[in-house]
Amino acid sequence: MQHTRMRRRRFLQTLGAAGGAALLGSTGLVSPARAAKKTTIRFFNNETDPNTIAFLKQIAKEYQDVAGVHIKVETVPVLKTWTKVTTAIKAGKPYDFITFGQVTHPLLLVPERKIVPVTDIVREVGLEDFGPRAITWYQDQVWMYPYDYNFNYLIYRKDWFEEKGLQVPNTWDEYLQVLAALNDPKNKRYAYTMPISSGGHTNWGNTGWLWAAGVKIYDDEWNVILDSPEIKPRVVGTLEFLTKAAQYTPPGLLETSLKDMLINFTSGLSAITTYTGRLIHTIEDRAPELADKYGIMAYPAPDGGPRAVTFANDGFSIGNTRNTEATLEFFRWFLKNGKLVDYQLTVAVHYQPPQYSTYKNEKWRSHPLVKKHWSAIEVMLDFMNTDKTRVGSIQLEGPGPSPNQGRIWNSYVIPKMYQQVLLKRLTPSQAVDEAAKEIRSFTKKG
Amino acid sequence: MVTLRRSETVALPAPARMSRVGPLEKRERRLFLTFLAPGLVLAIGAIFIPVLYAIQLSFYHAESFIDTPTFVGLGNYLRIFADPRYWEAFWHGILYAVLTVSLQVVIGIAIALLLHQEFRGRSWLRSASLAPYILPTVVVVYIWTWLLNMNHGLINAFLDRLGIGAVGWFETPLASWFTIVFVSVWHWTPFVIITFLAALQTISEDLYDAAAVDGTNAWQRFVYITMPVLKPVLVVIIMLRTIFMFNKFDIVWLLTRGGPLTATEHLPILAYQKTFAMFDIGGGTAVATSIFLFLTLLIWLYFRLFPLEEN
Repeated sequence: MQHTRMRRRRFLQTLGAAGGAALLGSTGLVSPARAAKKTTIRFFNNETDPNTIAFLKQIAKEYQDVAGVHIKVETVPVLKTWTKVTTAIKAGKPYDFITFGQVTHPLLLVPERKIVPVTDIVREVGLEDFGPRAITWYQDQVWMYPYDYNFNYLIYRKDWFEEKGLQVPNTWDEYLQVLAALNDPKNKRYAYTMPISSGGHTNWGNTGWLWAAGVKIYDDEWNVILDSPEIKPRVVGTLEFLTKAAQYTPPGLLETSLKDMLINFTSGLSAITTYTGRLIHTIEDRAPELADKYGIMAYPAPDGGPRAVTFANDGFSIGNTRNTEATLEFFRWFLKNGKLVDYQLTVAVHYQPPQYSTYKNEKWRSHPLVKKHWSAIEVMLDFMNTDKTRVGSIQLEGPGPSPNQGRIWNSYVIPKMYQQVLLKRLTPSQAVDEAAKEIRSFTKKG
Repeated sequence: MVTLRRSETVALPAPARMSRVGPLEKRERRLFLTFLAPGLVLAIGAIFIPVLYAIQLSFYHAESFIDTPTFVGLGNYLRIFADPRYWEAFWHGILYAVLTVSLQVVIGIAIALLLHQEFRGRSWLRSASLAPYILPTVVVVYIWTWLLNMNHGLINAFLDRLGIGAVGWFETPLASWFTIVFVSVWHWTPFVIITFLAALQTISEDLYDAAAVDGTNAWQRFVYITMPVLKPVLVVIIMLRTIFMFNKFDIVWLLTRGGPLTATEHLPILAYQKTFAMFDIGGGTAVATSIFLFLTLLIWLYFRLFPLEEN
């Protein structure tokens, strides 16, 4: 039938045109195909500050000019690191150079041999240059090169303290007295912003009180000791303390997020919050008038003992890929040419260097923000002093790296424990028992 | 008063004599397959294979996507079904779907009826009513998170001005439920509006005129003219929206992450938590597979109770 022949002719014409276009287009692929034989290092970045991203793009270009190696930087939010890295491995496209937000994650890749040790590089730099807890050994090797301690601590309005004649508190009772003195809801001034909702912000931003009280979750054999006769009273004490502190927080306790922790402080709603040096950058950006009106302190202990900070430890790892050698070469170039300091200076007061030499590095010290906020940095240095400051973290619990720490983190069992008490669903003792029960249900030994 | 009966009022056109369509000619069949192939390949690659892989994983224990899975048979299913948290999430999902779908349908029909009337500015209002639907979900959540913020949100500032005082929209389980239902309904009702509006266009105005002449009131016209035409659309909309809302992960996750505590946690969130957060790939995929099986059963039951074809 003529009708059918016409339709088929048109179809064949269309197919021919499409095929021709594809052929023409494929000639453009020749150059990229040739270029693909050049080494490309896939760089996984989870630092989302625009300055850091811009710096990495610049480094990529610089290294390409120097070594002819293409660096492809991909940025993903820090909380998505584990998912993204493991799914990339599963998809057969593993990252060559990886930024991690906590040391547990790279160590989980070691049994599957998905990363290579960086022990030699660390030794080349010098082990003694690294502060306490900066280097984590696993199977006698170092698997992550740290660039930021990421301590969480308290930041307070010095001017409000002075106005009320208050001193930096050294015990929990003193802290509550300070909160009571600072709290002025009628004038929309609240004493303390703290997170309790389920999320990484609470795991990191409001566990300092637990570490200050000497709380432990596991013993050295992965037995849960949170509800043991020795530890439970400390946890109960912390929950009772937080319940009292909660009456001095701005409304909306359950919706307090990282942004509220920053905004409440910089907008003058709250006298005290918890964060890292990133808050200092937020002050510089949004409330520069506060630049000389803040102070920082570690979390006081219940009875005046060693204060505590929470620890997260960001670092770099090298993937076990076909580009491992090229990546190690890139990393050595990165370190030898001072690029690590440049990287840390992209958010100068937020990235707390774990290497002592950085604090003596002239370029680092002479950065305007470092100079301006040197008094805060001196306090941050105290956090590296194990005689003065306890360092705690979910990721440090137990005898070694394990998915157990990741499960505690991701199950939000600690924020839920807080919520049970603050929403008055359970007594502190019941909440501790409930949390311990949940942790036991997902803990795997060995 | 004349009682309107469907057979008297809706004059069905005489069934058209359909020409017999025989099997495709061989060359037409080739053409048919050629055009079907890309979509089929995409469906197989992007839908069927991942679904089958997930179902397969549900019979294994694995702690990450790079872990070597261990076969556990039905172990994951027995474990999740014995977990009270699973059933709590299941009923949360039912509640969420029922509340959001009911409100979407009722509000959607009401607005569609309104937009079906002739009035000045109708075209503009029809376009504006779609605005919540065309916004990406993340944008919707960000907008409402800021509007409802306890200390800095416009809504609470307005309520404060009225003397009512600020409301903690995320502070209690009840408030959180209100928030997730409200934002979901705000975001998705336009889809229902546009679908019903399209269906309303198929009803001849003559029917309404004739009914009005016969002395019927607006409610009777709605029940006896409008609803019978809308019924097939309603059946499909309720089914689709129920599936969508039971599976809705993004809005609930972004607003409350299933909190406070697990007050708004439903099965998609539980599946996500287990798979990506709790190093329990098998448990997470078992939850996901159970959602798939439940919805398949629901659809089958639904079409048994509300067949699309009339006998």
